[in-house]
Amino acid sequence: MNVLEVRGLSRAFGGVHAVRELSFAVAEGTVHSLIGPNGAGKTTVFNLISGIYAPSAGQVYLGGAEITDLAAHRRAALGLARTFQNLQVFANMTALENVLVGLHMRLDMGLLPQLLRSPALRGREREARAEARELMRFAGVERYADAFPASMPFGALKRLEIARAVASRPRLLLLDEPAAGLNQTETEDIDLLIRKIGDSGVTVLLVEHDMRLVMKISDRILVLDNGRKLGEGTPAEVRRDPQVIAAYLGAAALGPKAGDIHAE
Amino acid sequence: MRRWLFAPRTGGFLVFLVLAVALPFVLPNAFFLDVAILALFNASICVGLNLLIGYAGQISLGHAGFLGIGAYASAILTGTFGWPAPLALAAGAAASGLLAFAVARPILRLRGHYLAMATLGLGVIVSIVANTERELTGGPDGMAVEPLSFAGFVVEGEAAWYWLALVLLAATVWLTINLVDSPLGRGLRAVHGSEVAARACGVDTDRYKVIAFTVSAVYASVVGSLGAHYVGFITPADAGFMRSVEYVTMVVLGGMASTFGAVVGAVILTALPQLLSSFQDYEHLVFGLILMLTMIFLPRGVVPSCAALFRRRRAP
Amino acid sequence: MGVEFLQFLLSGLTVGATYALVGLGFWIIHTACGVINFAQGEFVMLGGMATAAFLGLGMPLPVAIMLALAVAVVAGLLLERLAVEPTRNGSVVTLIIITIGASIFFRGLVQVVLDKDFHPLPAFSGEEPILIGGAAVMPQSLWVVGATAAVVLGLWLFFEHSLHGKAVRAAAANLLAARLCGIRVRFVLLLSFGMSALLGAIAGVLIAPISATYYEVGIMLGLKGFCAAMLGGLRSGWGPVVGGLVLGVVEAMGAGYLASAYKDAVAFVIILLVLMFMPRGLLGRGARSERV
Ligand SMILES: Nc1ncnc2c1ncn2[C@@H]1O[C@H](COP(=O)(O)OP(=O)(O)OP(=O)(O)O)[C@@H](O)[C@H]1O
Ligand SMILES: [Mg+2]
Repeated sequence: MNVLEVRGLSRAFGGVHAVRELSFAVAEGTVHSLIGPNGAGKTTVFNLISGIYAPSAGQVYLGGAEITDLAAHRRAALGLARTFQNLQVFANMTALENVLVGLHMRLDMGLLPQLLRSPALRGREREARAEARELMRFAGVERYADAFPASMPFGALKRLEIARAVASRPRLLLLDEPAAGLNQTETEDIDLLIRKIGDSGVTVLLVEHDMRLVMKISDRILVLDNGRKLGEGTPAEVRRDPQVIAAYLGAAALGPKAGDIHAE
Repeated sequence: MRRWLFAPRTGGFLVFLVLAVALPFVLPNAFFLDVAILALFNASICVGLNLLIGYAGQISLGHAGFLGIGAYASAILTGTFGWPAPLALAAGAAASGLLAFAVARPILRLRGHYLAMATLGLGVIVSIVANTERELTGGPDGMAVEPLSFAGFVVEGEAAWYWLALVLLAATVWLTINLVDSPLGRGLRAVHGSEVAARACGVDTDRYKVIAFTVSAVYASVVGSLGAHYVGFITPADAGFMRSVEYVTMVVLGGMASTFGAVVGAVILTALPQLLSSFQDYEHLVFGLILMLTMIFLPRGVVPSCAALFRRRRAP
Repeated sequence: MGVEFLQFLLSGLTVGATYALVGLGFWIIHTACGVINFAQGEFVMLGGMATAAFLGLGMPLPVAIMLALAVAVVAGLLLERLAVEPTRNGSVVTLIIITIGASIFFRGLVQVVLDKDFHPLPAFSGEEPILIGGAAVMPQSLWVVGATAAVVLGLWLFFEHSLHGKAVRAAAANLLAARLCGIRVRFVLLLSFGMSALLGAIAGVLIAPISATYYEVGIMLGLKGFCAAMLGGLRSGWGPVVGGLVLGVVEAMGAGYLASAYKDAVAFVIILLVLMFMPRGLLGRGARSERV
């Protein structure tokens, strides 16, 4: 069963064709990676799937239902969650409150009980806070619960975003470069975290430049170049695909120390 | 009990209540009580406006327009048409709410200076209408407003008004403090923090912005009605651009995204011109200077800056 | 159509030219540092009021005008150095409040140092109307339109062809990159405030013979100039010019054919409609969607 299916998706910005005629599917319970050089259109694909941008053509299906024209928050309600390449934490709230926003959809109730802080609301808030703390522990950032993002290290913010995304109990989680800017140990921790998320039954679509992480963790890989699909398959297949090697991986990537193709 | 007392939510509220209840007994004369009443009304408006500016992060430079709609609705409907005051107040609130609701969606799609311009325009139009429709509003000279009365009971005298204004503000502060800490309040703050992330978390950001805008507009309208009854006179300037700016300034000076900051800002900026009036012609000069200096040296506002200072003192 | 229409058109263009000048002042500062300077209208007021004051001291008109422009420029430079520079990294709202504080301060200052009276300036070259196609035009109107055209031309040359002008645009495009290229950003900021103060003051001097100047004249003119800038869009200098002229003409037509009492409301109704239904302004892309 496919959690996500994308058909003929295209999007142009002025003259730039960021995504062209892209079709792929993500099977339930897998970790699916999206790789490609800078500017290939990976983030744009995420934005199209999550409803931040509207596509110029094509359709998106979540769990078999079409969501192409749905507003972003409605998609979230259907079980889609994501993180952002350039951190989008809520700087005006504590870390715990950030995660609570992730729980938002399960908490929202009528205006009056919220204004009056009704006992029912208080009960649910207590539970929500406990759950948010649990999620922070899961992501390894529980000690920052009452901190504001400005005082948290970069790596912790990346995990906080993941905790916030997982909080909505999504069916499909989109992770945009979760390891970018992290050192070796931090990257390994993120690797573990993604595995834990995958093991809990959440389907993951991952964009990442760290090839070692991608090859280790992915069930399937989709290679994007210039907005087009260049190849698709298991890590072993992609590694062998001559077209992919020529366009993107390069000979170096095949060596044992092929780690980082990050071009920054 | 101790925890309840020292939690910022409840403890701060208690301190505020004690101060406010004690105030009339220490004020030397009716002039100060009058200033205090105006400060309470302004504080109520600012707490509502802060929901929009401080928490949801959406600027409005036209809020006095809604205040004016409430004030003129009350003045005209009670004075000229003989409606009961509560009904006039409700009609004004409904009109403000409808207007705010109608324009909110397209306007709140705008950001930064564009939003500032749109809200500014809205407010200015209201004051121009008040200026021009002489037959209804008395034009630039303004119009008298009847005292607040309901079912034969008339609110009269500074003391009565003080308690009324205080109850109103206390209720507003209490509800706002609750709201800010609720899922809805977090949704609003998330809009401020990052709109895309909020949407990705399932927050209907458009709807939340509309709610914040409409609620604060209705609120300004209600306080505008009451304030008009209290002062007994309104002019188009009460709905004008400079008045809108004053409210925003109160919020920012006190400290954005701080409910007590909004109260403190309103109190300072209501009292200051009264104190400065002894400077006579120098009043504006000094006022502008104080405004600039505060924003340069305390850009986050008085209450958050002082709170930060206090925390730094305590934690070595 | 006919004479009446022409009359409205000409008076609209005159007023529109001053809106354009004020709007250009907004644009320059916004381009250089992203700030909307709510004290822009006060530069207009300073230009007119200072000219009136120097005239009162018995100076000849040209000298009084030159001195008044200098006063406004100094005010602009001081505003940048003392109030805007220290809060460069503040939020938009903080900067809005600071410039509003400055505008109140300038009004207070003029009210104390000069007075609260209305001061009509003498027209630059007489009050004998000139007939154009049957419509009567004051010579001062020609001054307004001509001077505005000259200023726009000067600005265009400056921004397109001078090194300083290019520096301002570079700083606007990318502050860090500009700094790396050796552009002194602080100087660019100072320059932009000085220039927009000059533009505002020129507008104030030009319009004062037509509608008298007083200490609060800058409030409405400033807001209209802001409207003009937003209407045309702040992406290029042509935005405020087009926006100002459109605004002036529509306002004159509205006042002439519809309701003159609502003349001042026209600008705000238009800007509201435009922002609601064409949120990118008349000349293109105003409110960009955020990029993540
Ligand atoms: N909002 C936008 N407006 C204009 N152009 C855009 C926008 N978003 C993306 N683009 C363009 O689309 C192309 C693809 O960008 P995208 O961010 O999707 O690449 P990416 O694969 O995520 O790259 P990276 O690895 O650097 O993150 C680029 O040329 C980019 O400049
Ligand atoms: Mg990307």
